[in-house]
Amino acid sequence: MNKLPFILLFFLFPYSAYAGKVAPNVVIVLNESARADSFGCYGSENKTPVLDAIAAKGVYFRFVWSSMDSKTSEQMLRSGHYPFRTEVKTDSFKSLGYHSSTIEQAIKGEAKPPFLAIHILKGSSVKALDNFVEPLAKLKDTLLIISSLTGSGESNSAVSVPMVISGPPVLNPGRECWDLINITDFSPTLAEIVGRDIDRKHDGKSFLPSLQDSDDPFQKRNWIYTQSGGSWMIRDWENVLYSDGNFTRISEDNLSTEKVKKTDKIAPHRKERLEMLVNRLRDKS
Amino acid sequence: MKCLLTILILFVSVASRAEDLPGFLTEYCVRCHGPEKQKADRRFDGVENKITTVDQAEHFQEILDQLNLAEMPPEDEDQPSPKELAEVIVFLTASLKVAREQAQTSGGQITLRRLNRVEYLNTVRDLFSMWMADFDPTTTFPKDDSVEGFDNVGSGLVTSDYLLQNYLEAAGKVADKAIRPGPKPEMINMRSEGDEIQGKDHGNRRDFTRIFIKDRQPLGITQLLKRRIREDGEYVIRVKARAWNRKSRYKDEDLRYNSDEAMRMSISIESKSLGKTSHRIVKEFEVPDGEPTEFEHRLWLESGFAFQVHWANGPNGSTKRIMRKVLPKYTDDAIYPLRNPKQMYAGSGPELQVYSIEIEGPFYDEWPLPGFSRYFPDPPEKPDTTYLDASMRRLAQRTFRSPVDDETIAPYLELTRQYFEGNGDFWAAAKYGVRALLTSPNFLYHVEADEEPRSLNAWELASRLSYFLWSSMPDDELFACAADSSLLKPEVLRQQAERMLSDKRSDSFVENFAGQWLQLRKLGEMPPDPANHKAYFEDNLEDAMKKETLLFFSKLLEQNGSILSFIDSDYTFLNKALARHYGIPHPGNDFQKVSLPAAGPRGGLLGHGSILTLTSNGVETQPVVRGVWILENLLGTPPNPPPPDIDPLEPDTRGVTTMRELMEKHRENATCYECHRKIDPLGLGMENFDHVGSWRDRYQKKSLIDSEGEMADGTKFSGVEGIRAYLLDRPEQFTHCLTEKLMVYSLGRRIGFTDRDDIDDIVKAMPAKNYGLRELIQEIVMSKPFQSK
Repeated sequence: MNKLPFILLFFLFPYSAYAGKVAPNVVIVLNESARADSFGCYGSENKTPVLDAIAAKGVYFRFVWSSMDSKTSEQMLRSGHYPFRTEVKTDSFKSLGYHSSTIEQAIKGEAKPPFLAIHILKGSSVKALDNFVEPLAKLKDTLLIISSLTGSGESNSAVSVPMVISGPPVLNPGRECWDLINITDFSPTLAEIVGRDIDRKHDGKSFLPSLQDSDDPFQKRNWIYTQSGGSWMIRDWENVLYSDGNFTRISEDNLSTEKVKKTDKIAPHRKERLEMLVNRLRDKS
Repeated sequence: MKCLLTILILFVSVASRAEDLPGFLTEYCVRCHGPEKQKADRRFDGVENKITTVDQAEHFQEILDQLNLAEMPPEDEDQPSPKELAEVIVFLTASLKVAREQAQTSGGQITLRRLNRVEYLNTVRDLFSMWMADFDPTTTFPKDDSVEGFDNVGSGLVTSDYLLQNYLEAAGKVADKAIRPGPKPEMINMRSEGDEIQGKDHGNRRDFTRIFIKDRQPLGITQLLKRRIREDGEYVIRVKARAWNRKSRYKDEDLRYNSDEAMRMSISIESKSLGKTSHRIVKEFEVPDGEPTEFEHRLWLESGFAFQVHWANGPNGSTKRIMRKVLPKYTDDAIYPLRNPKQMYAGSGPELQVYSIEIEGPFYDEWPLPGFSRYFPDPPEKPDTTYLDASMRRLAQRTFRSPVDDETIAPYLELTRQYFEGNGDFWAAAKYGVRALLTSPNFLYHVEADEEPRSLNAWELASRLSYFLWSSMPDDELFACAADSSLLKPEVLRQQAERMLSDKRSDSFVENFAGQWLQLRKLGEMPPDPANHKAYFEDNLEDAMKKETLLFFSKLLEQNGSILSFIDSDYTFLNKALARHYGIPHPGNDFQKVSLPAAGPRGGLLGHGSILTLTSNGVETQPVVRGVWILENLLGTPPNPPPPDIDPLEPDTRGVTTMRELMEKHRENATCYECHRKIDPLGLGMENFDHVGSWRDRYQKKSLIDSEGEMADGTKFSGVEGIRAYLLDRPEQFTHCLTEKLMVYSLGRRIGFTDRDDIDDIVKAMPAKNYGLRELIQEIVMSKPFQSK
């Protein structure tokens, strides 16, 4: 039995998934705002054939949190940190060794690989986004991440965004992923893909295991956090805790929430756990 | 025994001279068994020289037994000279022989005996070829009383109004199950797969459902759990599963789990209407690591049942415990002792992953079912009274276990016909008829046609044999031997008994005879404290112990092994858990024959955990109970019950005194000591086995166990080995005891002194037959009491 290479691979994988491989090109396109379920692949009536096709050969995520305002979201994305860490202003993508590129260069094939192109599309039209990514979907050996800076609506719905990803690291394509993702997680993910260490104080966590359909919860998040100005929110799979003390239950569609009443049957201590997690997070700052 | 024979031969001529029995008794016995004292409740001052009543005969027999065993007079009393003793023994023996011969023509016992619960159940099973594992119409029957330790003895089997009511209801249930006309029931096929077997969870979609813990997370087909099986029949259950992460980051002790064992999946069935008591594990599979495997099990399911799948050896406890107490040890994000989300655990530890569950059926080897078509062959389109009568006759012959004459059957035919005519529904009438037959005395009682003792006819003999060896009715072959009377020929009888002992149905004999002789049914009445005896409950040692003893008995029966192996043997049957309990290495997991170390204490029944546990009270050993158990079941000399006003010994809760010191109290009172001098040494000799049958050298408070002792007859011995040697020294006494027990069980009545000669003959014949258990049973089948009533 030729098991040795397999075993070696197994041990190396989590630490540097792409060690020895050529790092893929990366294109990140973000709408300024889009409701988390507004793509066709999420069951929406919007016609988004390109996004759906990307989802079909990639992964679409159900639980992704950005921030309430697009400026804070972009800051979280770039820095890989939560907003309360005011001292951190660096661009965490810089140290990853990518050649930065524009979308146009990427499409024309003028960018030097491996390149990283991040583009923010003004507006909130899903149709426009779908059209915009059409040429990108044809790029080869490219990790394509399509998401949004903000959601739309109130509270949980305002910070929940869609996210569709296709490209080289994705295994078992065509699935919906229920793992919890923060917008701070992009740069740690790329860092893991290229095998680089990143700042230890980073608030993000690589979601490469989610792209590769890992079943191990220890490689993934079990809560996500967001903030805008002085108000914050933290959630796990079922509940959201707000800075004003509100504690809600997330409905089946993941976007609407209802306040947990004393008579509701929910697992005990869920609120306490989220409280402790957020205290711990903010104490460290 | 040899000695007695010699004496008999020597003194046969002087038998008539020894008419001075009263004189002998006055000299040596009356001081303790007379007007002043009546030790052991015996008084001999009025005993005459002649036997005139059965009671007197029993007295004579008792005196003779005690003299023969040299147990009386006690050592410290005046002893008769050998000549005197011999004279009295010869006189008693001769008198008893005469009395017995007289009694056999006039005073033998005939007891009316009904089927007990087990016999009822087995008979119904065989009558209609039914699957009875999950159909028990006798659950509400009152418990059968035991007489002489057995629940099939006529005098204990009373019939009450309540029981009759139950017979009526049970017969109705049986009739409904047995009469199944019409087309074959339609097949169903239900399937549940992926992660929807148990309903969606908030997590990534997977094509399996996870089981995290042992037993408490059953998976089933929702549709079936709601709807249940509608038609009795054979079904096929298919489960596709895999063992995942058997060895994981979690320590075994944190999960309370053994990652070295292969994962095992069990299938259980349960009926909603019958409740928890109907729950039963029907199959266990070993699930290999790696790729998912499909498992298949074929089984009979009664209507109302549904099945579920469990992880039989997963982590113990609840998922809640894991989320609260285990997870925080392994990740900072899980907070002790809060209920952390299950998604944080799913996928990280060992899991039994179930991909699909399916059920298909019912299948039938034959339709109509054989138990139905045997009595209702090829029913016509519109069955009439002629067909009804013929069917009822066929049924009656089997149900009554003998040919049925017109006079006997007439009322049943009449009843059924009336019902048919009044109701017009043929099959309802047929069910009505079955009910009538099943509540008939001819069915419920072992047939007793005459008042006078006589030899059994072939039909009666067939039934006696089958209820002895199978606890059920005769089968076709045995009925055939009865029909042509060939069963009355010894060679045919012997050959039939051999055949029946080799048949699977003889399991009933093992279960019922061995279970009652050795009192195995008592096991579990006083279980140990669950807090201190985890292994006892987790490994289900109680069942394992019982199984060890029953397997041991089965093996001897199967191989015609020597009954002396019950006293000492160099092997036993163990599974892994029981071997661990005994401290004996075991190569496999399941029950298998295991050779015992030569010097070990486990050989024979006295080393079986079952016996040692059932003679203890769950907290400590009870030497008195153990001693009595040996006297009763191995030596056949049960002591008298204690006087009713006696205070029990107070247990020493501080553990300062040893058991032996406590028992010394028995010496202080001569009346107590009378019996306890026989009981206590045996019980104390077994003290190295604790209350669940583990070996120990010291008591809990560290005092050393002293298992030296002296038997009532002065023999000194040490420990259980010494007791074994003592018993092996007296093979005829044990043989006698076992023969008597078998006699009681086979005849369903108490043994009288009239049976004594026959038992003695059997005991005498055994050494030449190497004490084979099968031979012993054959001897009993061939004996006169067995073949007469």
